[in-house]
Amino acid sequence: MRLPGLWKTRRAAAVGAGNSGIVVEGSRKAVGGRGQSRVFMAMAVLFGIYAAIGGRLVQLGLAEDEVVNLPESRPTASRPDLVDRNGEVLATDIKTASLFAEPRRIVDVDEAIEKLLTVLPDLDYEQTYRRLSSEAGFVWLRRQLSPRQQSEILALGVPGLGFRTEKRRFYPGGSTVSHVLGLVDVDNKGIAGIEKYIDNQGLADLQALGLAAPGTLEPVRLSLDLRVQYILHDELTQAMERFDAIAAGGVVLNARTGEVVAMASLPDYDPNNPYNALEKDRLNRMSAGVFEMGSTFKLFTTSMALDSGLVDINDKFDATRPLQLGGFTIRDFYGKKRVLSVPEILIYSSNIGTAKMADVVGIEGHREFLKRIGLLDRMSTELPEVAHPTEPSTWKKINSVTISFGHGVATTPLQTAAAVAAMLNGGKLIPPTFLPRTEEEANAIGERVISQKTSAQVRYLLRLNTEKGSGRRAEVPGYYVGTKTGTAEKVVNGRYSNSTRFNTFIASFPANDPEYIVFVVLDEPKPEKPGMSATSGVTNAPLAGNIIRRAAPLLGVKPDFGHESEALLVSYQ
Amino acid sequence: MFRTTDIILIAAMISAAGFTYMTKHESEALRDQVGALETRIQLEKDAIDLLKADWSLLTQPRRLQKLADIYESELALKPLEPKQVAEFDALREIPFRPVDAPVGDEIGELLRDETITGGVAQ
Repeated sequence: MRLPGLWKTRRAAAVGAGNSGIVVEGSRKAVGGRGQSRVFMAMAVLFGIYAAIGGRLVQLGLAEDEVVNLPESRPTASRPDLVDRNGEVLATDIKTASLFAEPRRIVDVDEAIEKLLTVLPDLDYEQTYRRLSSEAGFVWLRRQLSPRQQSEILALGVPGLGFRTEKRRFYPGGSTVSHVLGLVDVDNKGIAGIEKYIDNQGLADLQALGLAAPGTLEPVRLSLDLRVQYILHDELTQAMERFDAIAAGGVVLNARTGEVVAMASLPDYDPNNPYNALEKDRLNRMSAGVFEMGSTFKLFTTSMALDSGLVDINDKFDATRPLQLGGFTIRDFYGKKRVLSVPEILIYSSNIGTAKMADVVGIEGHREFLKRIGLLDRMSTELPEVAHPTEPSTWKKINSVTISFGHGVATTPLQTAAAVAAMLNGGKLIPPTFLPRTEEEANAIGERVISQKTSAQVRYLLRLNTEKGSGRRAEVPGYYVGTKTGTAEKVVNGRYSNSTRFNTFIASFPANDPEYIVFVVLDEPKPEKPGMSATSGVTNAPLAGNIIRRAAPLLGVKPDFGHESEALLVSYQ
Repeated sequence: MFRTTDIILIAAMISAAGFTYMTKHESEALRDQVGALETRIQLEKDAIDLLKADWSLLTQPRRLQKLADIYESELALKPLEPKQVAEFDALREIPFRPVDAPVGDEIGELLRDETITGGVAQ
């Protein structure tokens, strides 16, 4: 448009110039004047057009953005996988697609819903219809679809539907490993258990710096063994049902390294759907709950007495009469009413005899010993949920007496198991860990709390308890189990009740040189049938026996049928 | 008016422009290809992650236990007993069979045995 205009003006000027040799100003003016006005007109038209285009641009630029605000994919942080000691996946990140719709772009709502129903049969028709026919720019239809569902929806070819990918933490084991692994929140940040521990170890900082890109994080290997963990969880579930207990818990601890091979606390939750994880009843009882351990403490009292050198394994204590002390009477549950030797005190679980042994050591010595084996301090381990044990503010004689058989000091089951391991592994207290640890590392950090000789004596006492005492039901042929039962009375309305109990049970195998400790607790178990008793030897011993029978071959403990009744020979020599 | 050098220079310029255009076009095509491949690699990686999660779901002890219980009678499955665990050294202590014993008959006896193991045809 522009070029032809100019061309014409110029040609007109050239014609004018060529017609006569003399340049007449008037004629040039006459032609030029017309030309000039044309030029101006063309300029004006062009200017008008460009002004219109420019104005429209400005208008568009200033106009309110009417475009639908699609939500950003939720920026969820990457986390490393958690694997067990054999490399089995315990927790991993998976990408899921979430379905959204832009109602304005949907042509036929009925058709869209009908098609969607073929893939998502449980979609609420009415609700979806209301959402899709609304004026909203954007609605979520379903979060976290499986890839199969996503591809099926894509194949439907419905306009106005779209996907956003979101990262989600997935726990293939479900509730099997719930408490140890812990939880993550919607932003994939660890808020409990090992997940929180990993964040505190620097993962949170890495994520803040943007360095924790997916694929750059090595999996974190834990000391757990998924198979043993499952066995523990399964057996605890069965026992809890069988004895109608309100809670159950257990830990399988490597006695030589302090590695926790399995740990479970029931009731628990499903970390994939943790709607009830924060209920008070579902806390991790093994490390975040404190309980009076009952007669299992007699093991510590006996070890202390033997290790002090003041009591010999062949010494005898008079348990004929109940012990009177400041208005309290200490009785025996299975009273023998005679003089008992140290092994007999342990296998008949004599309160009187144990109290007398503690008396030999004295109040100060007693407290110092429990402190030494870590039962009076908060245990240090990777899990963030660790409770502080309780003890009397001042230790009087009556406290020392009751604590000698497990009442008056409340400890966490996990730290009790660690202290038991110290009594049996040759006398070294090794803090329990949820990460792999070698025996050399354990020896380096382990602290000697009792002598080798005492430890050997305690092993035989536990074996004796399996053969002649309350732990018979935990025996597994070939694995040579050493046991100690504990049946603590619970405090109900400020008094010890003899009908509500907290049952604890220690099992070690093989008893002559324990590789693993199994520690199981049942809270308020009831007799299986009316008239039957619900003491630890009845409820917890078979439970521990089953766990050992199923788990020992997986843990690589070699069965040995060669050394029956060694314990009897040693203790009665 | 045009000198030879001009023509040569113009030709050189055009060919240089052509070459540049070709290279750029090619590199763009390659970049697209790289992008497409990267997307595919990412998709494959995601798929691998998902399959791994799926695998660990399928090999959960809980599921295996359930399957073992279901097929217990059909496959004659029994839990392992401690007595059945032996080391290689222990096997060596088992004395050899007398050489002159009729081995064939013994196998025949085994076949008549009621216990059926996996290695014996039913």
